[in-house]
Amino acid sequence: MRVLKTIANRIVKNPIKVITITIVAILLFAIGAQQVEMATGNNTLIEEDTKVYQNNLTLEQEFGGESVIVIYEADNESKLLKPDTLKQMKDLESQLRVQEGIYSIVGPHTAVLKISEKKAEKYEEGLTEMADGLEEMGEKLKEISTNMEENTSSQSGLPDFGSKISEMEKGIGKMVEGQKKLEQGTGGLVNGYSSMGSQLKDVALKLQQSAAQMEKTAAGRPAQQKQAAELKQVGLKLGGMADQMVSASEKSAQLPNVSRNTINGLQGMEKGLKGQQSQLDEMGEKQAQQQKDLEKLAEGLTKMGENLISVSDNLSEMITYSDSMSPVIPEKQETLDQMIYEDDGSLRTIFNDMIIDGKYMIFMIKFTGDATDTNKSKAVAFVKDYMEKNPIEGIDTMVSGKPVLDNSIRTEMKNSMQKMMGLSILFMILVLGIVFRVKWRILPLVIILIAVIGTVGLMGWISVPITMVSMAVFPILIGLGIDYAIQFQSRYTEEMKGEEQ
Amino acid sequence: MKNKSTESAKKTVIKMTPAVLTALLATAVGFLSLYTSPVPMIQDFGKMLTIGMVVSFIVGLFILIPILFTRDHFFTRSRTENQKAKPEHSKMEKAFGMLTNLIIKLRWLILLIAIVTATAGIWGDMNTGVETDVETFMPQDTQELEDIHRLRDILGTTDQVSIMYSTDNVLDKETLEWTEELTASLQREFPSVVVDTNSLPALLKQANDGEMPDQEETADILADMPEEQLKLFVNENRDSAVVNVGIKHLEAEELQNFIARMEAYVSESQPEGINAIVTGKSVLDVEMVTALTTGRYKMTLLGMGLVFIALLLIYRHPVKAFIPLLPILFIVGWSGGMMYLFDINYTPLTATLGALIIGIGTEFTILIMERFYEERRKGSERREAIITANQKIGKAIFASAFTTIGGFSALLVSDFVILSNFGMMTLVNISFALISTIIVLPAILMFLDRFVQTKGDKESGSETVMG
Repeated sequence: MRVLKTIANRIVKNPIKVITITIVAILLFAIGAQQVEMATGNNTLIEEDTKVYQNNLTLEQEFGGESVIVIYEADNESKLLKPDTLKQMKDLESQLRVQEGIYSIVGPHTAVLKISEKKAEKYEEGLTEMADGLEEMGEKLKEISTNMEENTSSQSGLPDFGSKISEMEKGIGKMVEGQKKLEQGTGGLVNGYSSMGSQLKDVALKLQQSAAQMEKTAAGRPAQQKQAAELKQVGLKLGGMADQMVSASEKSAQLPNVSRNTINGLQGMEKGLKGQQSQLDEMGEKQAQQQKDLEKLAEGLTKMGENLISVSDNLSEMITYSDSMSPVIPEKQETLDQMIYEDDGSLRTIFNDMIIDGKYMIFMIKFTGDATDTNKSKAVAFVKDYMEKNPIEGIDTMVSGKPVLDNSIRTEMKNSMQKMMGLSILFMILVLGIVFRVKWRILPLVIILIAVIGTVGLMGWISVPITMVSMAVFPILIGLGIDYAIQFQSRYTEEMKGEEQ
Repeated sequence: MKNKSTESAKKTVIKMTPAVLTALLATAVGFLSLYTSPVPMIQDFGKMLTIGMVVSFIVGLFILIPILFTRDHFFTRSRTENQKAKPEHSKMEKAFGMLTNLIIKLRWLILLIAIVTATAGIWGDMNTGVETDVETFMPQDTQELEDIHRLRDILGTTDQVSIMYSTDNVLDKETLEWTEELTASLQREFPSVVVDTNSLPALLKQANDGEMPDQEETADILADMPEEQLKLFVNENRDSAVVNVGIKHLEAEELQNFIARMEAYVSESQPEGINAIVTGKSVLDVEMVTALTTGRYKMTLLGMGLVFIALLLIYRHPVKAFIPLLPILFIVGWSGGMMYLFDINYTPLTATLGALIIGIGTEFTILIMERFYEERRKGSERREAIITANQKIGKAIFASAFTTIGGFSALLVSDFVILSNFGMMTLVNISFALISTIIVLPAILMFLDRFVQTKGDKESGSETVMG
């Protein structure tokens, strides 16, 4: 009772001061409002120290939490599995990667990239083998030319080309193997391949020149003429292969048939060389003393050998430093189809879970277990925005999943809450106007609004979150809290009236 | 005028503060039961309400009264206001008097009807379902909701239960075999619920032309598998992995059943050395449903128990402490009956109604009862005391209840089914609180007062505490 009297006296003596102090206190509370959290997570449903909660937590920590699913829809599979669609997925993924709270992103593009990666590895192997083969060929050519020179100077019998040429054949054999692997693989070797092609072209031209020279030297000698023609043939074939390599890279996709042609070219060259070997053997018997010509030929061959070695060096360097080996989504539908379909035309099993009924394609974004609502809302908004801004013709997309639904609930709830707060106040003004027949009858409402601000602030200070349930509390808070204000004001008014009587 | 306002302010503070404080205490004690809920968001709801009530009380005392006082003390000169309100008040009081007379006459009938209906209500309430499917809470025409229904059509499932298992190495032969067997058997075992399953062995088989690969092949396949996909099924240490079970979208109870059966099945089939648990969001949801259904009565009973103890401490008389609770018991019964009649399922929100009823109801009943005993102490007869109490406090409660109804009715227009249902139930409950307080409580007082009065006469001195 004494406390009450003290309070009463204070209020009567210094009303303005009491109001000011209380308002300052409320304002101090209100600062805490910034820290109020909106909680909709699992920990609003169930206590954190229960086994069920902990189990689920472990699950989400180890294997991720909820997932957003983007559905790509079209009439048939072929419309869905296109380089453009997959590229969009890859792009979306890389943009999402920088966002927080993402655990895993999986879609058909993931599988395609994985396949592409495997192919790139094969491709690299192939290229290395080609480089080796070229180097060997170059070395042998140089050796042949040295032998030739020695032979010329010593003027003794015929140089032993046979073994060298068979080794050159081995080199070419390696290149053929390499090309076969290239056919299986699909790396993004655009520029490297092109430059290699042009260098090889250069060598081929040189070879043709040498052949021409040989032809000249051998004028009048049919055997040698024939041999020169063979060499010319080889040169032409090599040139043809180089052209194909260039065109392959220009088309920028490593189309298998181009590779196939290259292999044919190389195999032809191999045969040609075999022929040349026998020719050379023959030539040995009729070896004349055209030293000068032979020297010139040897020179040419040396140069050719050097060129081949440099091509090989370049190729090796390219393999080492080029980032073109990183997996890519193929540019051409043909290449893509080769990656995603089995030989019998059925879709590879790795895509089973991603393509449904041949009409829907699934792109999944899984959040980490500890992703916050803000993380999720942001990611959902981003994906929706991205899909809207990057439409693909003939394909409908839909962004859905539990986080999308929750996100929409949160937004709707906030909107609904604002609307309800407004209505609640309006209704109470009406009711107070009719039922509460005193002076300044709306005052309790003003008072309760101050109390609401203070309550929300205080919740922030002592970290009580706003949940789905407490959202609804606001009108209830107003409804219950206003009781006290009404009681006070009604009693005060009564007292004032009582004095008058 | 200046003196008058000073006096009025002082009197208001001294006389009203204890009364409002008691109401606050009763409400807070009622809400206290919310803290015992195993569902944290209901606890937070209780905390928020308590904070709100306390802040409202403080603001009312330290802002409202000083403002009114300042207005009259410093600014108001005339005193002609409010005079016209007088006759209307007496008209209202007259109506209340007549009503109360009628109530006293029909008190046995009223009590009988109240008891029968409340009992029927409680019975009905036992049969009221629980709704925890968030999808039914929100506006039904939301695009996102349509989308997820479509997604469900396309995928066959959007709900998942996970079997997480851990052992030294989830990739060894025995574990893989067990997982394969388990994965395959789930669809056989629960054909009506399980839509599809996905696990590590399934992936391995898929990559190996439908055959289970041997250890060496397994390592190769895993190395070739995209990391992004792999980490959805097995962890980095390779000592824990998961079987994802896509299930139909089920009602809470069915889901609860299914999970219990699944847990039994998994623990039965798990060999030594492997520790498997059934978990996932669905299990969490089920746990919450259980908490809501079983916690509801506990919460209400506990709330009433707490209020009873608080009142017993204040009044030191069991019957007197029991009187304000009886009308609340009726409200709880009626409220449950309404939910049953109108087929409103319990949601996380409506499950808190019991506590809200206690909070709102006790305030009303205590005020009437207080006034009744005040009149009795003054020497009035039982009948007279009841009429006065109902006349004086009834109209105040009326105003208060209507304002509260005004505030709550905003919930009715919410797009959220969960909110509009809750809004409706709170409206219904406040109306019941009014009926129970104004109509049933007088009948109860007429009946039970004799037990209080015999003792009350002797202890009348100690009863003035609450003034």
